[in-house]
Amino acid sequence: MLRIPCPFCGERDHTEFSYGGDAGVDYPQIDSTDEKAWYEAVFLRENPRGPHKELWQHNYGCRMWIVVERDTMTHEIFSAEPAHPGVKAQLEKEAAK
Amino acid sequence: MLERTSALATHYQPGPAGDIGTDGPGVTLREIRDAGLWQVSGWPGTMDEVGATLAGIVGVDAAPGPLQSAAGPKGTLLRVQPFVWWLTRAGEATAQQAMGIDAEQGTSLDLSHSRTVIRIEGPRARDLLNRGLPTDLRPDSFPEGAFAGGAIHLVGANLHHRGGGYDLYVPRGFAVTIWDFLTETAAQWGGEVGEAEYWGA
Amino acid sequence: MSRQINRLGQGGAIDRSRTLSFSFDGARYEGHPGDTLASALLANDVRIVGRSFKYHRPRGVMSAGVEEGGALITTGSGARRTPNVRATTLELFDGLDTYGQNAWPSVRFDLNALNGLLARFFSAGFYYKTFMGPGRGTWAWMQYEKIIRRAAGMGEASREPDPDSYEIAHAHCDVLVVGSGPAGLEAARVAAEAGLHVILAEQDFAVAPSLLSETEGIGDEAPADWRAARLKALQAAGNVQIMPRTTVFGLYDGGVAGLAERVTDHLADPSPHLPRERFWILRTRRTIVATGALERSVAFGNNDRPGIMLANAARIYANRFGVAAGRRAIVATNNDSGYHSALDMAAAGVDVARILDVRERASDDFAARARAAGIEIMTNCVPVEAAARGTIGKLQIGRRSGATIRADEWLDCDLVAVSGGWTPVVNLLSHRGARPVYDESLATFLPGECAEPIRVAGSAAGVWRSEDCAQSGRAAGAAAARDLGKSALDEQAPAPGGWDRPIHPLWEVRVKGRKLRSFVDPQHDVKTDDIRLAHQEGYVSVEHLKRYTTLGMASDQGKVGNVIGLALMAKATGKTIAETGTTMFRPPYTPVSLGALAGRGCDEHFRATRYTPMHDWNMEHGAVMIDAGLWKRPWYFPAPGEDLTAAYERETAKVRETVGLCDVTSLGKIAVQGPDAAEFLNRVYVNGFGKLPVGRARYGIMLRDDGIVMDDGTTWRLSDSDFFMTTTTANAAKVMGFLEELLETRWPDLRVRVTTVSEQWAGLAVAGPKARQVLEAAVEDIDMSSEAFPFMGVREGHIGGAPCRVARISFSGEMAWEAYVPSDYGAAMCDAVWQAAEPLGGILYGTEALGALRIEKGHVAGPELDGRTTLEDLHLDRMASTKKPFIGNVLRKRPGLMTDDRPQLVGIVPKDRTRRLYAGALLHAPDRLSGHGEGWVTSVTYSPELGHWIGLGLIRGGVEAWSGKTAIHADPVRSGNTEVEITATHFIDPDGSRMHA
Repeated sequence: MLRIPCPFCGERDHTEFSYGGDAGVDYPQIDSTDEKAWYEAVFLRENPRGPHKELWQHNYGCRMWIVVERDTMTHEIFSAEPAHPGVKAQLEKEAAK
Repeated sequence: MLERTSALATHYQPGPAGDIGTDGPGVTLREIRDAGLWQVSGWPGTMDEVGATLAGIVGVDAAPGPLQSAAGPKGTLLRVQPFVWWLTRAGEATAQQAMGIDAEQGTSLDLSHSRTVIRIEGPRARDLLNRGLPTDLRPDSFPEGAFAGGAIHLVGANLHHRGGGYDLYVPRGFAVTIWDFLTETAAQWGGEVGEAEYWGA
Repeated sequence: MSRQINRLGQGGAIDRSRTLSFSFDGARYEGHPGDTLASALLANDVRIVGRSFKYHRPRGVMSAGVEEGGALITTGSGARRTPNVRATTLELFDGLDTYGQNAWPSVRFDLNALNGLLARFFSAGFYYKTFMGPGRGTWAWMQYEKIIRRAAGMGEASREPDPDSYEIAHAHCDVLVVGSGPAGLEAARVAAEAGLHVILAEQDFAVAPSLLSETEGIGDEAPADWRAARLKALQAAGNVQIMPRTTVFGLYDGGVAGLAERVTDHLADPSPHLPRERFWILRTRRTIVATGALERSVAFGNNDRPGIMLANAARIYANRFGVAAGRRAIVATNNDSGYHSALDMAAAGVDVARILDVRERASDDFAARARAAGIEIMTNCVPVEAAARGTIGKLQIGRRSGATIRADEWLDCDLVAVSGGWTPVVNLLSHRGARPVYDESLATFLPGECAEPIRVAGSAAGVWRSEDCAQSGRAAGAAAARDLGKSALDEQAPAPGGWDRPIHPLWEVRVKGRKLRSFVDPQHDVKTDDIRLAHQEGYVSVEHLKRYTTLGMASDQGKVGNVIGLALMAKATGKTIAETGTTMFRPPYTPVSLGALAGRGCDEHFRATRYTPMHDWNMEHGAVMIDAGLWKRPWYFPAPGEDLTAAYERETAKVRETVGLCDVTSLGKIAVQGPDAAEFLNRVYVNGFGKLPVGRARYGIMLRDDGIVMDDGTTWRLSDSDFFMTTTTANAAKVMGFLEELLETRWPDLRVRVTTVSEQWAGLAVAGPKARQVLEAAVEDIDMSSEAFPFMGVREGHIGGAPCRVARISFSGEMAWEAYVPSDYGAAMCDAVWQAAEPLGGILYGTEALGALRIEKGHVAGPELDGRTTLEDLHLDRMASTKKPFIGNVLRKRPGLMTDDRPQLVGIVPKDRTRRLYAGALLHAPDRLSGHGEGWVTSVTYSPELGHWIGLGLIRGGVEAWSGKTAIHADPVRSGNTEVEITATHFIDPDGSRMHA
């Protein structure tokens, strides 16, 4: 059981989340016609051992998409941040109050 | 006005669930019917003004932050998601204009019929919830007024710690399944199903 | 009823004022509250209680705890029959019925033991070897397998449904302390007194059970006083939850522990509302493993005989249970602890004939105390072989000179209490990947380094003396408290050890020229010879040793014998024990009921059930329901005497002839709101939504990033910035997640909010030539005429008093609308519409007819959108906009998805119109009836309108390539081969005039 620290809800079981794959994928702009860039973004993935940034969605909680850094060997979780920069800014602002 | 039919209408049976001892029921459950529930959201940059509008509508100083609620004389605000609140109060659906929020500021959406609200009270209320809900409900982690999303028996739900007890919001379609789960589990402490209440009553 | 002839006159933590009645193999006996089944059986001199797995050798009680490998019995009967229960941990209650197992006719006299005569053919690896010899091959194996299967297994499980309920419980704490020995008690107390929330889990039914058999003082205090004071202090601390009968069976990632709590097994008459067991999922910030250590045995001849047990077990039976495990005992030891057993047994009145100590000499203190108790100590002595008819009667001793043993005299005895050393219980740390480390001086494995916040205290850390264990617990508790920001006194953790004189490693007793049957795993009958055989055959790693010999693979997981096994493997390979290492322990530490792991998630609670707001209304009107994912949907509405086929054929025909109503609530419904909503829809749908007028709906298709079709649905525009999107039932959650992913990870600048409103709206489809008439009557305030309400229009109004939104959209190809009202008004809507429809000859229809209608229309759905098909394949590529970018637009044009030979959507009709078709059948050319063929059939139905079966499918070349040709619908499993024609997909109303009427 991984414990994932949702930036909104706090630390929760991983079973509340769904896994969204590599967070480091560079998707082309929606109007890009560069087939190679789309192919790489959609099909190619690294498979690193060690710390890895990945996407999770807090499905059964606030439904936020977050970027989690997790060690793929030990499952240690180093950080979790909102994927949406606006969400991140909003939560930081409220935490500072 | 047309009467609303709760998801539990034909299923609901006030009375004991399990054997109630001399100490009284370990936990009481009842449905709170006919919720008025609106989802109101802001955009990055408009949260302060939307929050202020909502605070004005229900009559509190400020809209609540993450994991919190704010109860006023004209309704309650529940902070559901980073950019989203729920406004609960008695009364029926109204259009977005009634909220005074336009598209540039945010959104509003009537969800009054989408949730069944189950009130859980009593000395074993936390134990009952933690049989299906993995959330940390210890007083330091989930004090009076706290509000959080989670999953009960693998169904997404929201929980509000209010008035010494808990309001559990479950999606309407799963109400019967969750109700059965709760009443069967409550039986071990002598549970009691009370008469249904009405929102705002 | 037999008397408790071995019950000591006094002593024991049992309630002698109350007597409990129980049975074993039909004979009735008595015991007391506080007994285990094992202690009560021993008290009643019942010595043979089981049979070993392979050779069916008699088994007695061998230990006093979870490490038991001999006394495995069956409790209960009928649906509650539970096999392989350890008598040593089974709490006695009045009316308990128990039975021997794995024997015929009984454990006392088991005919299966004759296979012991064939023992040399059943040595390690015999399955493999047997089938490589005479009679190899499948047929021979199947014959052997029948015999082996009958002989395999220990107890027999009930085949009846489990009448008990179980539950899963979630909990959180600051500190989990595993085990309530002196170390655990002190760790819990210190952490709690520092202000932390502590859970103390104890697998036994008594808290602090080890102190119930301790006789050595802790500091100045007698153990009973020390125990009482600590328990009182824990109560006083207030924030400690003590959980007896609860085993921490596994430690998992993220500081999560699995606990199995036994709630009702010890109760004679439990409330039916209580779960039998609870599986706790506990999330903790710090864990202290104070699980103690288990004593090891020594391998010598016939060391598996009833009457031979661990030395500490004999002590526990005497002190905790007031039972003499035998009348004339010999204690064999290689370390100091055996002396405690001897002295305590002697004090209880047992005749301790000898202490055999393999070492040169005993400590002065023990030597003096033994002398005072009248016990003869024989140093440099070991047990060689036990002689028995059933239970032990004689033990041959041997004298040691250096490494050589010389067999000597035979001594009468009925109990041999053996101590081969102690092994810390490090299983939980092993679960977290911390491998134990061998310590030569203590001849044992100590816990290894653990990277997680888990500490080990007490005997689990190799600390032997009780007062050192207490200190060890305080140190661990204080360290955990400081970790979590609380203040606590810094106490030094004591070093491992604590014996007066060092241990002398003794794994096996061998005498030159003697063939001894010495057991290492008493449950699986693994002998020391088997270990040497494994090595001889090339299995040299401990992992191979375990699996080849099955050492440690029984329900006791080799708790007593594993270390002996790997010591012998080390010797055989010429390596040190440290170099040889151990196998990994995996959860569970002791067996856990599958029921507990399922909790309440079985039968109707296996999955949550999702009901539409019209469920009761549908049932009242005769619906037969079907599962669509978690939803219950109406499947068909049979008239009296109708089966499924008759019902759906009638419903389908009636919809096209008159009008039908169908509950379509389960479709995914998503509110898409915000100033950028139209732009967002433009990017996710292949066709344009940016210019969709308010009050109109449009059918849309979404692709995946890789260009494959993902889902279809209809989206309505309610205002400039407000859309109502529908999706298929099956893909609702997937689409929702994808939309949120796009907005949060790729397009954070778009101001769009997506919210599921599946539960907010109840949906009813009204379809057929009379649909307009019905809705004109039922809908209060919407002009339903063709001019005012064109095809694909959207309007808002009221039905039956409820606010509604209505769209003129058609899945069936008939004139149709879908009406939605807020869910609590769903039944009222149905009443109002049905009131108008029924008098006109309207009917209710379910998913079967719904499917038949859309197949007749040639409308694609889930079976066609199966994750492999593209817009081109489905002839929907003209929908794709060339004017705006959308998800999947680039990769859908990749060469691999544009080849000519991709299967294309077609209609299928049997040449012989009386034949039926099957979805999933393959399509072949008649001259090439092998392999995967040219395509496959996706959806089929009987068409009432056409009077025969029709289907949709995909086939290479499409309609053009098969014009005038025959294809074969190949279905070897169900129907054999059927000749079919390949046609266009619109079986009815190809120009759609009915929908536009």
